[in-house]
Amino acid sequence: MLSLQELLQAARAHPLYRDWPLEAVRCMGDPAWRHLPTLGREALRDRPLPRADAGELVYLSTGTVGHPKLVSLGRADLDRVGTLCAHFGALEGIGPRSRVMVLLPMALWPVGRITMEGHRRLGATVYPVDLHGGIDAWQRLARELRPTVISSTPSVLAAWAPYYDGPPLELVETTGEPLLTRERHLIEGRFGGRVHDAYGLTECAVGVECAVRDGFHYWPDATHVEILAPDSDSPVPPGDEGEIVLTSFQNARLPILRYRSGDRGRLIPQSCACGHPTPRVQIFGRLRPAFDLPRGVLLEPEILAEALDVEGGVRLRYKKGAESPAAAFLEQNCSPTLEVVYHGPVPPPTARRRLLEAIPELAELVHEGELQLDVAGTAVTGG
Amino acid sequence: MRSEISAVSTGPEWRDEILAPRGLNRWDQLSLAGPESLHHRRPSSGATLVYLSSGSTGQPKAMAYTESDWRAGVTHRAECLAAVGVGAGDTAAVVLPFGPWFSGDQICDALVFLGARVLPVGHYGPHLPAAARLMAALDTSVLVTTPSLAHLISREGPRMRLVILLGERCPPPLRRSLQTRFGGARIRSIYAASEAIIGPDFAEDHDVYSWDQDRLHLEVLDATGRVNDRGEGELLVTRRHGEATPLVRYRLGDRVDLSPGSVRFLGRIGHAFTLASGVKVGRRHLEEILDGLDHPVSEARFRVEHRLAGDLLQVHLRSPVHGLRPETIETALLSGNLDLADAVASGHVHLQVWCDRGPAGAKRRLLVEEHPWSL
Repeated sequence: MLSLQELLQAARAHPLYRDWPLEAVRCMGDPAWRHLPTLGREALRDRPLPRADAGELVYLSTGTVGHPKLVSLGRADLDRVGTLCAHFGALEGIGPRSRVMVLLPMALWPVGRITMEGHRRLGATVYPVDLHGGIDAWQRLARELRPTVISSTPSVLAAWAPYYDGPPLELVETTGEPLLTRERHLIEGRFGGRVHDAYGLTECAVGVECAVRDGFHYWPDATHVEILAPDSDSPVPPGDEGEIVLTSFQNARLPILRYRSGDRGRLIPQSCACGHPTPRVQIFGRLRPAFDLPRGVLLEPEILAEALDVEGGVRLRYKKGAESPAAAFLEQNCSPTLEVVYHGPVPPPTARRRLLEAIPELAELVHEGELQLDVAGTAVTGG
Repeated sequence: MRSEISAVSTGPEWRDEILAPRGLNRWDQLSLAGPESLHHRRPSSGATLVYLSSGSTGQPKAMAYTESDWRAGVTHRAECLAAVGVGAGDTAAVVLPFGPWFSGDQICDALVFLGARVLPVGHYGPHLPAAARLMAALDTSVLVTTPSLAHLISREGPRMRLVILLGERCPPPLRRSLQTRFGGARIRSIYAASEAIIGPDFAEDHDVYSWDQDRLHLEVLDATGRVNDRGEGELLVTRRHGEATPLVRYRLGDRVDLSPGSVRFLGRIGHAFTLASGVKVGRRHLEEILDGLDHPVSEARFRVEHRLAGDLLQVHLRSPVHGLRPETIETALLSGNLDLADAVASGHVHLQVWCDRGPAGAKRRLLVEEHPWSL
């Protein structure tokens, strides 16, 4: 991992931190560190990518509206993130005998690639499957490949679970979206392996659950976690809830210092019953609501409104499905639906095309039947 | 299969690296191997990455890599990319399948190795408009893709300095069209299959490729079953590096004209048509699907139309008996070929199937048309 001095040196050379008083910082958490500003997510969104002097991979963090939020990783950065992901896998119990089917996007977003890198380092056999093809294709591949581990998002696995007829797994890795208790039970019941959830952002991988599953273990040499008050840069009292603010020692190409994750959480002061010495962070959800679409896609309302590009108001509603226990039998017939209603002269097919072309995650979900998108250009009546 | 070996076929200078572990002492003692040798193959110990290729056979072939195989592949691809004009400072978009069918990752690693900035796009149809805007926002100068995907991307109007094509032959009319649509871009090709990278094209002749005799040994199996070091026939590939999936006299299924240091691609053997994103469908695979239907088929017509909006595959079957249903045919087609199913699900291929009554015939007719060009 990068040392603090290497990280500060990379930050001093980066336009994002031009006005930051980095010179006075001597060690993590010292007074000079605590007086540094924090980095908002919009800072990355509005930033052109500086010209690189060596090879690098460029990934998307969120949609592609306006200035996309891009993250660049050099070869050494990818090695460091891969090393951290190998720590995750080792804590879960993955080793050279594991056969890992990675059911995560392998292009545009880095999650599939860094998962693959981590498992390669542990000597496991990795099958990078991506998400294409749908349940029938995954099913056939699982029968063919006989994986012992599957890595994917909770909603992909929950959708697949009722039909899974591959071999019982040793464990299941989830990432990319909040894991519901109901999903955990469904996945464990059908796939036969314990679920280990991982937490991280495109900008910074953070941590993973151990067998105790009480918070996410993180490695302080890779990620520094602070909990700050959501509306200021002040730390909350130890053990209290606040916004998770991350510093990454993984990426020199795009240094991430005091980055506001937008997630609510707390540091767990007690050591873990599993005996692993690393600290833990607990996550409670998002600070600002975003639509939690299938396959772990989090879509912020302002991104949708910006993509729509209409002058009048926009009303957005998202219904995930039959959530009432009494309506469980309806689940097969209820698909997640996003309703977009706007003021303006734009014809609905044009508005729909704008949304799909601007937000590839949305296009993918709609195209594969994971999400119903209803677009209407009628008057907004409130609510 | 043991074939008669021509007198000149003594193998590469590094032949002992291949012969010694097999307890052989002459190159002509080596057997030929076909795609079936890779079906259901369990990766050897030490393999850390496994990709699949089903291609025209419809049966997944496993291509495994150890870490050292991966590095050797990255270096070879980097040399090919450098030979066609990629260098440090380029920004390259890779619009190719990423896992399980093809190692877009290895191309990305090779580009990073050369010092390029790389945008791994994948080949997902609905992404292409957004991907084209991203390419423009990043001042992308190099596009790495297949000819049919290049055709789809070109409707977004991006300008490129260089377009590098892989996975399919690019016919001259399509090449000229791409050159115009990408604003005068240079169009170059690399000859590579899922199983092996052969080499970059010669700038002046797009269907002729160079190959590195220190990495590969190429031979041809001619129509009489004789293996030769030059001339026309099916390409046999022996790869020097490739611990996890050794390729020795592997029948690639391509028809070529081989010369020392260069190879001219002539087409696929038994090939029926190629769809967007490089999905190749063979006549044998089509025959197998027709054989597997519950109803006799007297005439099967497969028509492919390459369009800017995505390929259209029309399947028209005629049966002398009632009961053949389009959905049965569609299921048989898609479940028998996962990468065809993937191309349909990804929006690159629109499938239309219909069937009707037809006269009984002594022999089933299989008709294939591809418009406006044949890949």
